[in-house]
Amino acid sequence: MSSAVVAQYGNKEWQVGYFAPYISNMGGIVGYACDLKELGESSKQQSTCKQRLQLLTQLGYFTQANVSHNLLLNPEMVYRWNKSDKRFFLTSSVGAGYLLSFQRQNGTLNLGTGEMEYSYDALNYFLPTVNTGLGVDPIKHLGFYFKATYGRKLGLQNENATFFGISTGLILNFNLKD
Amino acid sequence: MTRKEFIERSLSMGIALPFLSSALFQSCSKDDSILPIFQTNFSGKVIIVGAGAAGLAAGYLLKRYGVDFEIIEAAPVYGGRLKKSSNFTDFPIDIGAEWIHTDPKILADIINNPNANANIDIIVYNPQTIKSWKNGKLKSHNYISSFYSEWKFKNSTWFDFFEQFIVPEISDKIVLNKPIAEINYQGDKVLLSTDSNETFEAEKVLITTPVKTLQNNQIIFQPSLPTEKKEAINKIFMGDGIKIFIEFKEKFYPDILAFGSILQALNEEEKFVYDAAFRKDSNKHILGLFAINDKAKAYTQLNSEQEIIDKFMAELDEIFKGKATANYVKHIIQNWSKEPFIQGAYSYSFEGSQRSLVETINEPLQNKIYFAGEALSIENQAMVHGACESAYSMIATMMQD
Repeated sequence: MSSAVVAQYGNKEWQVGYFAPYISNMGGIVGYACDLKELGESSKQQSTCKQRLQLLTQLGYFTQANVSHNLLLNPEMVYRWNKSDKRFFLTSSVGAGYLLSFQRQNGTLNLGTGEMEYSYDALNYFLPTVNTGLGVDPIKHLGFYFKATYGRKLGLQNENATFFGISTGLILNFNLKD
Repeated sequence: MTRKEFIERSLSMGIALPFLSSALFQSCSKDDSILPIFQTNFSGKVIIVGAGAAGLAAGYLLKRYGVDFEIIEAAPVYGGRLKKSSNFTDFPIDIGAEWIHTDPKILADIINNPNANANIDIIVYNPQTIKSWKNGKLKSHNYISSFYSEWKFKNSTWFDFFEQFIVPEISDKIVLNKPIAEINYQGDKVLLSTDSNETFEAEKVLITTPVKTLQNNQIIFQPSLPTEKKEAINKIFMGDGIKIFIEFKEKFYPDILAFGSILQALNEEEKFVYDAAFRKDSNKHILGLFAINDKAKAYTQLNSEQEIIDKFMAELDEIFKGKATANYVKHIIQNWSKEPFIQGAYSYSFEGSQRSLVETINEPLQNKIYFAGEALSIENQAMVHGACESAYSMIATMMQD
């Protein structure tokens, strides 16, 4: 496979993945990444490294069983590094997300039917994060990524808390031509 | 697997209590009701010893099948470890069992009455501020909020639930202030006698008293219980238990405060300070202490309630830099270890295989003596709905023997 297949500067790609904040929460995330800047190639012993800055915009959903449904809008500035002749890449990024959380507060149980009706509060959080990840650039349009996230959930109406999680999924690049 | 082991395993796998709750609920969903359906030709009388959750539930089921029964309670009130304080603050406080450890639908399952025309308001107990106190430092762990949730009654209590939906069906069958001292099952009928030599007679007896009272031989059996059964009973550990509630002028404490390592504290579930007014309809600031086993013993072994509250206030003042004394209004203490017919908190651990020990205890004696209670539920041990499930299951066994 030629190195031309490895993501080139100017690439635009989609990411679709499984999102697990706090490991035990479950959800999905869709992202769109585009290159902002090529930081230059560095060559060491004939091996060339590519470094790029990307803007990754993500939209996610996750749920904490019995407690909340959450929507996440999370733009990230991504530093992506890979050897130009290899598909494997590493990333580190910082994100500034907004989290809208619909949290169950109270419920009413109908004793006859056993049905519960819950009332929800909508809570807003600012979500600054740092992320580190790895992946494989697309082959025939399809690649793979894994990312770990750590940050703070800064509550506008609620208490602050540590935020962490993992996401993993597919990279889709429809612009590549083998 | 004990409740404690299940929680430990769940946490170690990164699976949180919501999943635990869901898993527990699966065993008692509407499709798999804990209220058994059976056929019986039994025409005699059943005596239930103990009017706690298990005893009341057992009576409720027997009533439904038209079986003659009587519930004999040692204390002057029914409820056992279901107990409430109505006048301490502006909402009723569970000073006994408090949390609903599984999906609240279990309440509908317990009464199993499609015609019940009533609603119960429930709190999603998902504390937002969580701290630990370890080595003289207060540390924040609010992220636990994203792992942990249970439920609580909002404007009522566990006691209210039984009082409103179970007891009215069976109130004429509850006899209070009759501590059973001896059970003689040698003859065709079982004879029960109190300290004052008052006697009761029945074909079958269900014993639902706390395991501690059996361990302390508060009831003498004639003939003695088989050695195997006695040993199994003695291999259940039920430690001390205490709850304290204090009203403060301000809220200076988190929704939950754990002592020691946060994960260890969650595993052990032995001592917590918590906001008892969390999501209640109240403007009062009520702090609760929940302590069991040795963590409770530190308080229960003291000589007076004044010593207990002094010790606890001193702890709070150390943690919150004097704010406890500065904001103190009033308190209430429920020392479960000093309750003569309870003597502790609830079953905590088992010396050996839980399943094997429980099966040994659950084995009927001559088809006349049966045991039930929170300690004898394998899946839902140490929980109120576990006590009900154990009672229902044992009544079904009894009626078919």
